[in-house]
Amino acid sequence: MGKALLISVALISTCGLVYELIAGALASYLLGDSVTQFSLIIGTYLFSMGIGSYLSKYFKKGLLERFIQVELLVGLIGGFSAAVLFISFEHVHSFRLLLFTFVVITGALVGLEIPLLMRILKDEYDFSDLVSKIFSIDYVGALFASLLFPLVLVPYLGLLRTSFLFGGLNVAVGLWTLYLFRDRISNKTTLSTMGSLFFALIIAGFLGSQKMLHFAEGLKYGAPIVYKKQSKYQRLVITQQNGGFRLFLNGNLQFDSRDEYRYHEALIHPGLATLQSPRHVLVLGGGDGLAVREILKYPSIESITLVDLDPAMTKIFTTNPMLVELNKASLKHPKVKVINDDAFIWLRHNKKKFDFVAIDFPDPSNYSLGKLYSKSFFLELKRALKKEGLFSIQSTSPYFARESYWCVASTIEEAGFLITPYHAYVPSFGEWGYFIGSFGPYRKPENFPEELKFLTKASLESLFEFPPDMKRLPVPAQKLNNQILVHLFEKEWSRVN
Amino acid sequence: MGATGLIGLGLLSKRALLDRLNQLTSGSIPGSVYGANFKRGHHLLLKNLHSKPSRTKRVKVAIVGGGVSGLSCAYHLKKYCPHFKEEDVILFELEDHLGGNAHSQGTTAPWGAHYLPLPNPENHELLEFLRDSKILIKNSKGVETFDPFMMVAAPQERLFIHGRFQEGLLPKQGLPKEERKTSESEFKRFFSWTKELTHTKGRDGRYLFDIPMERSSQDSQWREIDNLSFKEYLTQKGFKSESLHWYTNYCCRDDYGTTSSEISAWAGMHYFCARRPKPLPGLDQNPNEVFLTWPEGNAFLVKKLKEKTPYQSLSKMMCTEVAQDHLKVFDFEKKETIQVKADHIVLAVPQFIQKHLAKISPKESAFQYTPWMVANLKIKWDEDLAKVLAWDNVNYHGKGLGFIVSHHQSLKATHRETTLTYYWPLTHSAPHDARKWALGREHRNWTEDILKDLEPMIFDLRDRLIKIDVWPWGHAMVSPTPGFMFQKRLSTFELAPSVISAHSDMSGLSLFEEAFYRGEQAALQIKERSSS
Repeated sequence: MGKALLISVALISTCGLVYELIAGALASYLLGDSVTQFSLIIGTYLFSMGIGSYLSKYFKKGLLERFIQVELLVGLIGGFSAAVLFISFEHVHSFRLLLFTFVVITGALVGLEIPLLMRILKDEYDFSDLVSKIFSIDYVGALFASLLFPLVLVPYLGLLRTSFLFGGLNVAVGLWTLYLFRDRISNKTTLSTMGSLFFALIIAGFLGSQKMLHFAEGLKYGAPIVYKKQSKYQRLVITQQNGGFRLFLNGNLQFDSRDEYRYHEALIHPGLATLQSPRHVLVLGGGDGLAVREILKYPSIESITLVDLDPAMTKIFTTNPMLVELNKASLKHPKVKVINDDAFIWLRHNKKKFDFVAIDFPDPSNYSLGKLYSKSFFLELKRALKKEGLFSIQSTSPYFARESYWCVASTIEEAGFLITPYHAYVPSFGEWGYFIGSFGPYRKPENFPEELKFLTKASLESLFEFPPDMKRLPVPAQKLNNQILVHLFEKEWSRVN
Repeated sequence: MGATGLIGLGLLSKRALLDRLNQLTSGSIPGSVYGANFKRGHHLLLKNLHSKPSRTKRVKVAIVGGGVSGLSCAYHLKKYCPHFKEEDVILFELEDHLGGNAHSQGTTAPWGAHYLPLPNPENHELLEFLRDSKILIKNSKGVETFDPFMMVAAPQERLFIHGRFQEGLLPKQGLPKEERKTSESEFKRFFSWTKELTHTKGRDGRYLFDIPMERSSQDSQWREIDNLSFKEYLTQKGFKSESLHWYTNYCCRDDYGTTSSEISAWAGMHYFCARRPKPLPGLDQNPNEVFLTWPEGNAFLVKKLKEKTPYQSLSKMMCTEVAQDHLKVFDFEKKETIQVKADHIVLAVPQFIQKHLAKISPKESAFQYTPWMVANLKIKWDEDLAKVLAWDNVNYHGKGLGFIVSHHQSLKATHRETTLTYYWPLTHSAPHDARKWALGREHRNWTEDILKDLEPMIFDLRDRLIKIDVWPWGHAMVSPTPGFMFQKRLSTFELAPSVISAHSDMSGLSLFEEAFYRGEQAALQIKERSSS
């Protein structure tokens, strides 16, 4: 009997230390500053163990039952701690409060274990022998846990499954003790039901931990995730819901399959449809192939060159059946040439001239992207356009980011283009803005390709109408040496979000 | 439970754990200490390479030293003496690489200066070189301007002060109210005063301060301030604000490696009053705040100088002796001494080396050189850092001068790594002691100091570090101490009429423009002599 309990000492001390390490590791993952986090967690945990040890004197009778209850509880709470903390991180008001509540409860329960055990075992051993055995085994268990955790558990199991595994072990110790001492325990059935239930929950948690992580991220994106990839350049996430799906790059929505046609028809046709038999088209950005899909509706097109930075992006839009269905396999079309390169650098070396250029860059949310909206960029673009050619560019929202939108206008004008501003309503984005840049005056198109779902000759007029709340503001141009657009963009969108 | 010992274990991944264990056991951050090849140089002192020449070579011009002044001399010889054939001119360099202080050997970032301010419109020779190198170009309207991708992009400069970054280097954020008021009015007074002097000419019709400095006015009224220290002079002029004194001291350390209390007031004023570049077309920015910069710093200019020079340049060659019509060089590769007979010899090396070449007894030298340490920190880069840092990032009252983000001009949309070039003029003790101290230090000592200075600015710098390479410069630049510019500087010697000195320390100001000018002057002298 005594041996069995000593083995459980080894197990519970390992479990106890693992919970502490999990709390510390999670806190440094999520909150940063690992030294502070570890220090605070360890201190609080040890202190709570002290509270547990102190409280142990109030348990007078039924020590074995108490011990088993403690095991089962600490197993359940410790086992679920990582999952609960991880999933709730983005959604609770005070993560620290939750974290330290967990630490205090687990610590106190773990602190109860050893004093209870010592009192249970005190009649079977000589006291000095007991103290030496229990503490040496306890410390050996701690060493074992501390080596196992960083070298095996975290790399191979991950934090969530590690936490479930040790919760399970704790509950198993409880159940085992229950079995060994079944003759001396009064409320066997309650305890064994409780234990089995906890054990089942923990096993379910262990098996479902990957799903839980998905769910946690899904909460962030507001829908279940069906694809995710960290490429060399960005994090691609696709979520699916209500028959549509959405693409996020670095957490920013790029399109929703249910209304993207509005965005892409507006990006391409007001410009491209005015040209007499355009032949060579350049697309900068737009690795989703959706702009290319619209361009391919013109039979006169001979070549489309698409320059997008991220090979992971163009690859998934060439191979994933769901995405290929959406872009009508545009990137696999024989007229289309995909180049993975930095658009600005590619443009500086480019010597070809195009009839039409469509620019679909991410918004100017940082200085690197801001360079793609600078006067120097549009000066380079000039060299890539034929005299009768024109370009269109997405330019954030003239409603939510009015100054940013008109900053792009000033920039294109300063580079020596005539501009034609227009906008379209895209439900998942709101009111969205574009410009057409050209060398000569712009004429509205007479005809559009068939089968457009949004643009018609009649509805086109409204795109060029700017109500007073989106009217032009006098804003200086974006240049490499002022990056004014990035500041405006940040200011205006932080008011929206 | 004995758990506290675990704090130190990274716990993040096996890889991180191994790295951390490695750091703990060896206690080191990856990287190396480089440095000018002073072992080769010290052979000059030991005089053990004066073996008999194994062959003799004949040239018209031999240039000793492949730094900016030597390369500029070669560049201008091609222009001024077009009749010289390629084999008529030869350049010898002691190091493995050309460029002197402006090289970027072994890294993508510089080991010296990172930028060139816009030249004054009268500095025709320099403007011509920039035109030649397509740095000064014509815009779409046919007007001359600088390549927009070489002019420093926004955000340009940030100062880390009172725990946060502020825009610009003039201290503002978090100053106590009283100091804020005095410093605001004193900075205003200081800049209007220096601006006025910038455009003032002396009685001899020259600007009071000019670049090259030889073209400055010789008015005695202004030469006299050379005997004062810059700090004394500013105090005399009634400037008391702590932040103004910090700023002026920072500028002196930045350009001349010397504190404002040890630098000549004339040199200090030169920093603020010698630049008056023309406004640039279509650029609504003060041209004084525009810098030309490249990821590899001024090593870019070195590359251009080299490209435009047709003559042979040999590295790992040490000049051991100079006489009227010949010199001897030791070839470290072939281990032989060559005698080079030349009509003209250009010594494009600092005075402390010239002294040895000319076998002048090493008495108290008029030329003092400050040691520097330059470090290139290769780090992981991400959006969090991009939001905080500018091109130039300075720590208020920091030990070093701060650092430059080398990829700042890049047109790539994303970056995962970058190099920070960190500058530290070793002004904490007298140059001789600081030099001895610096050359005795190990990589570990340097990285500890660098991290201590930079960690407040980038809190997770240690986690981002890939490596730190360090380059201690024993004799980084000449120090224009009081009385130097108009007395001691002129105490150079003439070896022989055919031997011409060309080095920025003859200007007392270690600037690219001065080195470029001294090289150009040497070429001009050769032209005049060979035509007469």
